[in-house]
Amino acid sequence: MFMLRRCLLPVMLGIAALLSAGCWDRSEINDLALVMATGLDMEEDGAYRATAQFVIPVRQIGATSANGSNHNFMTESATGRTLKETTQNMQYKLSRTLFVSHRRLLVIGENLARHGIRDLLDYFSRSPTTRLRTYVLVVKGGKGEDLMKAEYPLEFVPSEAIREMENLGGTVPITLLDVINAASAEGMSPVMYSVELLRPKQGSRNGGNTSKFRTAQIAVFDNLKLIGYLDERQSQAYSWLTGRLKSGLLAVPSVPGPGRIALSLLHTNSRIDSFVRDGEISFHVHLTGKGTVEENTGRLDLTNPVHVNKIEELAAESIKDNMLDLVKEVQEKYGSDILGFGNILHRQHNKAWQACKDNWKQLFKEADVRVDVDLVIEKIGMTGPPLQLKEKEIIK
Amino acid sequence: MGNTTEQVSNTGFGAMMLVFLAGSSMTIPLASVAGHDAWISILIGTVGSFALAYVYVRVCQLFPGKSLLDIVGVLFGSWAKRVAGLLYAWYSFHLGILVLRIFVDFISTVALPKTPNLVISIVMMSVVLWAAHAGIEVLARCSLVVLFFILAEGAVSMILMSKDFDFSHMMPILDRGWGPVMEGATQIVSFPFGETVLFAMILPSIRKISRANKLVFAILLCGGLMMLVVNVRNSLVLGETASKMIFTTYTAYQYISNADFLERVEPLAIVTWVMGGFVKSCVCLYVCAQALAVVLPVKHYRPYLLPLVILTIEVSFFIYKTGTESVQFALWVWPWYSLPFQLLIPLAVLLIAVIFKKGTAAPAAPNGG
Amino acid sequence: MAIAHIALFVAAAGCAAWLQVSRLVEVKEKKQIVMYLLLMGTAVVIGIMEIAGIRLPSPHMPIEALLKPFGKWIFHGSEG
Repeated sequence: MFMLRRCLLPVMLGIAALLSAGCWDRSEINDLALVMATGLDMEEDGAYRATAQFVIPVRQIGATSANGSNHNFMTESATGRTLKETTQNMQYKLSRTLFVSHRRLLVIGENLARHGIRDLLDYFSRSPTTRLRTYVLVVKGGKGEDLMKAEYPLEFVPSEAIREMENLGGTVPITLLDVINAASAEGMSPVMYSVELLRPKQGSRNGGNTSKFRTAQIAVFDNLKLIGYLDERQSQAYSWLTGRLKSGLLAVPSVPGPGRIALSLLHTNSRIDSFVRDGEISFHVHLTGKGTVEENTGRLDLTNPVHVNKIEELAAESIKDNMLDLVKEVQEKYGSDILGFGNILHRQHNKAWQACKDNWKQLFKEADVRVDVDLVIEKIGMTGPPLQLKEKEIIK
Repeated sequence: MGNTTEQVSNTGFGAMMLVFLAGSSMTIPLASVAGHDAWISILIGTVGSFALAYVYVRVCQLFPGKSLLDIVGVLFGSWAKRVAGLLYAWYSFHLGILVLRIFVDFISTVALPKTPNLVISIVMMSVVLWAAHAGIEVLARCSLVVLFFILAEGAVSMILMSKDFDFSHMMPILDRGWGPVMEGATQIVSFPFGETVLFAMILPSIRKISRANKLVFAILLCGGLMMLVVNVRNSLVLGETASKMIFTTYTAYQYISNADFLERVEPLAIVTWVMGGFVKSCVCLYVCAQALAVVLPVKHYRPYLLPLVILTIEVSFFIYKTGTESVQFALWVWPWYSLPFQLLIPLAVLLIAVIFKKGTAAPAAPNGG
Repeated sequence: MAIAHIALFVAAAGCAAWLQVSRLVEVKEKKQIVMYLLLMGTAVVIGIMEIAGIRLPSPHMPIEALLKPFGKWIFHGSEG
């Protein structure tokens, strides 16, 4: 009897250990195909095509690294009528179980983005293994498949490179959660950052690009369909407006005199106030930021506060112009409220919002937007004037 | 039911009740009708629950050492006691089934999709059976450990998620008006606060009955605060999506990504849920067995535990077919179905006792004493 | 195959019941035996029906039928 009791604890622990791994759900690591990123496209006949990029575990690389090609990853592609079917078809081609919980990147080909991402969003938000923190990107002018196949030697897996590029790009990346929230919020439309494939330049002076892709501008969506892209300045203005700009670059003419001064923008912030007066809706955007002078191709001596103030003013003007240009473009060309003005109105003047939300698309186009910028140049670098100029050339 | 020589410490009882409240409610979205205003619902619901709890706590204080069923027997006769026993046995049994089913659905969806539900149920309920068999005091001590873990997990999650907090998700306040908020508040009063009426069966076992008032209200307040914090945390991270997800806390955990390597911490949420579900299940089972021990008056409730566990597992399979049915049931039916058990019966008992001046204890100081 | 499962289940339940009842008979607790057998009996019957695949009506049905219209009327629902 005593023996029985002594055996009981180890037996229980043994049973617990056996059960906790799960019998039916046991998955050995080397039975898993770890998906790092998925590229989604739409074929001409309307079928979905998914291309997944898998990691190849290091220890299974033999002495086969010939041609300098990257053997750390593998791609597999499949088509289907629905996303689930596509996933299933892909599984048929793989010797291991698809494991998407590590996937941190989702790229959408331009075709599919233009067709509409509605079904996508449902599929991914319903699946318990997809994390909402997945970055979502559009492939500008290209296919997700091509992006997945592009090689990038500097990182272990190319999709990591894309992720890091997004992280470094000076803006807060847009995740699946952001897209879903923007899509479901009334008076808002999602945007996504985009990536563009680079074609290797043949016979150019610098021998062509090693990198196969680069980050590109913001993709504008309306009704969950891609309708266009913003340009560089507008993208920066957009990021600033939505509080996503971690660092940016701005160049202003160095007045008086020739040349330009390049500023890097840090600690940017924006505040949007909405006003409703007699049924007229207007928004007032306050932008703040700190600038650091990075480059001075002019002749100004920046230790003189008068010059710095002048540059600040010029920069503020430039930013304001960019912002107004962005608003105008979005209002007139795209008509889709990606700036979140509707949301702002909802938050600040709920009653007015409830009254006009059905008509918001029209009202958004007509909304009056004013911008003011408060930019402070805090640092000018190591020197005042450019050091290579002779004494008489510097404008003090 | 004078067989209980078991005594529960006040802290143990408090821990049990707190885990009962917070355990299962931290996974399911509470007051989802209210969207991002759910925190207001939770506040109102907490206050509302004080009124509900006052009824059965007072009843237990008027008759120290006697459970709710005993008191029914004293006031209305032994046949009323048996009927009440049957009713509460059914109610706690029903609750136990729902807890198990939701638990199994969660584990099945998120962690072990290929494992047959039967296996998950059996594993879970074996432990529950064992704990309930060991007695209420053991249960109380278990709950202390579980509570500690839940609090630690709560703190950790706040730290990990704090960088993703976006306060604009909580605005605008009350944009849908008070209607949904009040709806949410009513739901919260009945789930999970109202279910603490089951503790009226256990209350007589606690050591210091005079402090019961203060203890219960403190626990309700703490429970409400914990739910509030969890709800606000989820809303801050997920925005509107928080009220649309079925397993909100889990989804919020999936979003954690700090310093690019601290990711995939969802198992923390799963473990918390398992522990909370375990305690809640145990309490339901224990109360059910105790109630049945009253229907045909017997001294021991322990023999009933095994058949009840088997029945719980079995019925949990066909209690509802899909998650949608359960949501419908939980939203539209449960608050009203629980009403007699949570409020009407204790209220009737209280009124009769007060009106006819029954009861052996001097009236305890009102809430605050 | 279902027969094997049923047999296994009944055997296990029967053993447990036998052990318990024999202990209770010693103590001569008649009421407890009755209740216990009632519960165990129900468990076994439902178990057999489930293993055999017979669809059992959920206890939710009557409750829902009774209270759902009331619940919807009171709350008007903010969901459709």
